[in-house]
Amino acid sequence: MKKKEKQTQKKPRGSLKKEYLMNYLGLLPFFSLFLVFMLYPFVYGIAMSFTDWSVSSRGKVNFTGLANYKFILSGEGVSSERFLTSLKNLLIYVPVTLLIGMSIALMLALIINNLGRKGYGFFRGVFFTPYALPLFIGAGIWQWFMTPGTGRVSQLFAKIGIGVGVDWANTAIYAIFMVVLIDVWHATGFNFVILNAGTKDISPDLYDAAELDGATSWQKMRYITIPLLEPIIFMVVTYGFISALQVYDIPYILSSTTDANGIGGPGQVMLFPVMEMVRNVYLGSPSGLGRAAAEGVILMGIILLITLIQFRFRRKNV
Amino acid sequence: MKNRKSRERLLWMIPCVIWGFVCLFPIWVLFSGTFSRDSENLVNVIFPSSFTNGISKIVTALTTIDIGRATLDTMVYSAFTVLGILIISSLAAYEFSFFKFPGKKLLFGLVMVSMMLPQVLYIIPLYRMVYNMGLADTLLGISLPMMVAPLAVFIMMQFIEDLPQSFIESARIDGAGHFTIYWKIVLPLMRNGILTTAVLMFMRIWGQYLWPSLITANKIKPISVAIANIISPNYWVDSRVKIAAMLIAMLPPLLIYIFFQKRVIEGVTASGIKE
Repeated sequence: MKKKEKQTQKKPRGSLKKEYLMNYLGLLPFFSLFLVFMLYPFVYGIAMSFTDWSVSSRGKVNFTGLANYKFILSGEGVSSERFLTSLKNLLIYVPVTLLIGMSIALMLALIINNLGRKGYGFFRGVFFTPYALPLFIGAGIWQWFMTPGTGRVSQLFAKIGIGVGVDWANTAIYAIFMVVLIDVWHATGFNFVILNAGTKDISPDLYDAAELDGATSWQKMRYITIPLLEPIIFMVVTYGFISALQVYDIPYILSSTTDANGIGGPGQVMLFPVMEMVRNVYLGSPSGLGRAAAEGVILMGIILLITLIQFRFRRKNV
Repeated sequence: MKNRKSRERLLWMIPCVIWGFVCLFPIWVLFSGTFSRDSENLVNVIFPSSFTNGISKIVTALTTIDIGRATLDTMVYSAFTVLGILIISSLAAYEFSFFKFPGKKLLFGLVMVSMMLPQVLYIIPLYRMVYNMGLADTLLGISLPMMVAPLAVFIMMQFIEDLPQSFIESARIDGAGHFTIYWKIVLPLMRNGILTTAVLMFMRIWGQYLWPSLITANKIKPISVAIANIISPNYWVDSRVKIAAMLIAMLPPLLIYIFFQKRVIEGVTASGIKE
């Protein structure tokens, strides 16, 4: 690349070099931090997943090949069982939260365009509010709302026959749905804003033409907006997958105990992979950090795989 | 025709009101719960009833369970990180937007890729690395890694795009140097982009939990960690104090959002949609 530039540009070489130097100098702060605090730990983590790296190994680690991977996927021993459970929970959590969250966000994004100017501005601001707040606040509020017996929302659910007398945070499946509930409450604002912005890029002429043909709001949505919104929906869903696979804050806070083995609640009903990685750090067992790194690599593999499948799937559809 | 339209509009209003209620009610009850009399059943509180009791709960939260200190600490490292992000990212955005240089495509590609790089992949090694550097539980240790914000570069570039290239050329003819142009011309013109980025990044860093919880111990107390502690079942404190603590922790991002609502939504849209 450098050679090509030199041949094609006919300015005096000295000043040219100096000019580029300035550009690189301007990029230096960003890229040096990027290199040290992102790229290096990223590569280092992959490498260390093949070693017995632990909190107590002071620079001395041994190469152990695939031992960490074999161990965490073997299903033998507490750490491995826990990791597999966290993956199972993830398998339920991700599709459920995406399906519910995206449906609500899409509906709101379409519906709000039918309101007047004032209504539009007001509700857009309101819908985004939960996303503007930290996740830990959402976790705190909803923990209060879902208190067994007395919580406002758990009582409401009980009235319509859902989870009567259930302690949501500590009961299998319910615990996952509690995380879904909080995540949907929080993330819908973001997805809604992006999707709604997408609808604004659609030419008004199409709607005018449809209106002349006597189309109803519903028909306009169904036959114009949704098909043309497809690329944006795809983007939001892809992004949603990546963040849902890394779910951490809500379940960790809701199931935290003083004991590292309590992370994820009784029976690990609220355990997710990133929490298990963190547990391996806090536990400080031999090969603990190596295992955490291996779990990270597996999670990355899943993220990459799903993203690739999505892109493949999309290409076929378009 | 007109009648049909307004009736339809009313119909569309219903789901919006319902979801709007779902969004705001939880936030509202943090206010009304804090400012309610002790004699009232907290579970049913809907409207605030005692201003003085609320203030006393807030004071208790600030002074006895570390919320005051956590708020201050978090303000400090959030502000410091945002300042770093603004300098680093605006410089990078300046170079990427106005200049051609060898390797530009590759470097910009790296920025885009890093935006997609899941934090979980490198957070554990990062934690050990910062720890080994002796920076655990320090301002630099918590902030420096968070200063790598490719999203900020991206948002700023969206705002720079509107600036005409001719500004740069005429400034150069006048003999201004590379960084003088950045500092004296581009930066002031980027006001909007910088403010939007600052607001978004501050809200984001304020809400961070995983990284601050890993890297801090006794010297720095992140608000996220403080709140996570008090809402854990093992921690006993008066429920109203708990709620007051959450109210305090929520206020900075909430107020910023209320003041800069349009800008925040605009920034989020710019970061998501242009791809």
